[in-house]
Amino acid sequence: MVGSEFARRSIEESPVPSRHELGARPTGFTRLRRRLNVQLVLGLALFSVLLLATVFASVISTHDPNAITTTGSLAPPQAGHLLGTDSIGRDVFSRVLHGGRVSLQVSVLSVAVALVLGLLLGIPAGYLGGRVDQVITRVLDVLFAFPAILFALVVVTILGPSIRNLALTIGFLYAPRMARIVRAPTLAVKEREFVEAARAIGAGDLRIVSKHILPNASSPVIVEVSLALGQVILTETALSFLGLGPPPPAASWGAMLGQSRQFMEFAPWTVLAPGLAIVLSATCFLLIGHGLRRALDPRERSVR
Amino acid sequence: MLTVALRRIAMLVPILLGVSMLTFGAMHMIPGDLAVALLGVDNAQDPVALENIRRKYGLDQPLPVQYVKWLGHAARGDFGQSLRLHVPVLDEILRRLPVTVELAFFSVVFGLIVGGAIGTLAAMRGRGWSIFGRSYIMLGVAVPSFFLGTLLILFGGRYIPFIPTLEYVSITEDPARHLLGLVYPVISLGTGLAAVIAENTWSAVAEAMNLEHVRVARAKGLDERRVVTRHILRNALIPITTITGLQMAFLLGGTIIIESIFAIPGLGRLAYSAINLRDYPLMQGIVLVIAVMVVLANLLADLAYALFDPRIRLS
Repeated sequence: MVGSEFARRSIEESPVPSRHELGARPTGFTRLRRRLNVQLVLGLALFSVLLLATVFASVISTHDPNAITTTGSLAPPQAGHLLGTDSIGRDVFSRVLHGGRVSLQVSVLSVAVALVLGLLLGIPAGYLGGRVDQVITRVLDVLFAFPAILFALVVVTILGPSIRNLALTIGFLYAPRMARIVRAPTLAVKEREFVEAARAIGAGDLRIVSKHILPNASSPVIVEVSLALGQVILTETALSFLGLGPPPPAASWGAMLGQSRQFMEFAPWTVLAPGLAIVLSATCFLLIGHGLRRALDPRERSVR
Repeated sequence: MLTVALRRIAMLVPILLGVSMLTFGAMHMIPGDLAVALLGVDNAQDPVALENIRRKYGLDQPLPVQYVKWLGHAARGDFGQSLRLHVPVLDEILRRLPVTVELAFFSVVFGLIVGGAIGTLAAMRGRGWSIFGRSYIMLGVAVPSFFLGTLLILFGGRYIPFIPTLEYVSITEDPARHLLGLVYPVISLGTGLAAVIAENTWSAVAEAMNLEHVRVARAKGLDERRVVTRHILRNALIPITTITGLQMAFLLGGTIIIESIFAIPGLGRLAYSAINLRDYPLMQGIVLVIAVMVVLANLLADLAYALFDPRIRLS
């Protein structure tokens, strides 16, 4: 099924343009505008807000995220403290801003790890096929059997929580999904005539993979990367919620939510603020992912 | 059909071997001496005790030998003793398992009903439903279960007094209260699952609607409800079963968080405390049991797929 999708797309975007296409090729801008959809625009807007807030966290925040202020603990939202203070009197607004840094850092690093591993496993599996494919697929099946949270909890407990260990573990756990996403189009594209043609004029495997296979596998991979970013944020915050995030006093959304739960009856803002931050950032990447899928996949457009 | 099933079951062997290797390997990533970790740093001062524990767990032997021994014991249901609870690991796991299975079962039911309904409506009704469906699919995934659970305890506890939030009542004690107590955990765990199911139901129904026999059923004047139940949903059910089976890992992972939040004494909470207390034999046992459950759930989903799909069933 996936194969046919890509076969169809590569016919559309065939490397040899027809005469008609040469005559009336839309400019980059019109093509882009035709592909934009509500989800993509919303997601990108949210993403830019998120990015700015994270990059300029120290400029925007009103207090030192780890400093205990004189306002006292569990103070409700007020002029000096936009989102109130937490149980030991730290400014929640500043902590939410800084917490985003950790979450985004871990997420981007994990997805990068997953992407590299996914390409290293998925391309040989799809391109070489046969025995190699069978072995790799079996290994992926094994990895799929472990719930991400459980395995990450175990490994991070053993290795100790740090941004590096979190990113490596989560990345490792998301690699199988990425590998599957890479494998399918690789498998479909390698049978196509232009690959055969490239081989006929003496192109090596490396050249075929980089010039013909990768470009054709790129759109599902891009979609998966943004969806994975959303998922990974949730995994990272769940881990720090359970107490395995980056060590304190570093602010992290999951830990803020987890530690404030016992006070939520009197101070709901201490759980609502980090919780909404998690939801917003996950939504942002999911919106971009779904939006990109609709923009890049002709099949998706016709069905919905 | 039989050969398909047998071939699929034979595939279990390498997968289960791999699962056990990874579980075994993960525990041996512990930096430093495993014997010290097993004893606890305080007790590890005693060289005699250290030597005893090495011999007891076979730590003085090469890793492959240890693995084969461990696997042999595990296959016979012997996962060793829990370091903190001082009971056999398997007994404790079996004691906690029914609670988690019940939670997972109701969450799957919730996911199928809610997700199935939203997906079907989004595919068949107008624009309003499809916008609602798209938003639900997005938010169902984006709102993490631990935040949803927290919100339910916070606001549910405040405004809906008859649903208990933080107490677990066993089914033998008070069945009605037991089920009421599961409402929030099931919603927290099932919402994400429902989103995934809704997304897949949507595309499955949309695809089934264009099938020729559906058009024929309509053309011959079959009333709409029968067209939907008999012809569209029946076709859509095939991919939905598979997807639900594939979500098992996600679901069982979720029970770790949900059972901790709602103080439910199931396998998930046991896993969390075993990890926190560094009870390595217990950790190992739970990870292996959960992974095996996921593998078996995937197998069942695959077999169900083969059973539902006449193209495979009759081959």
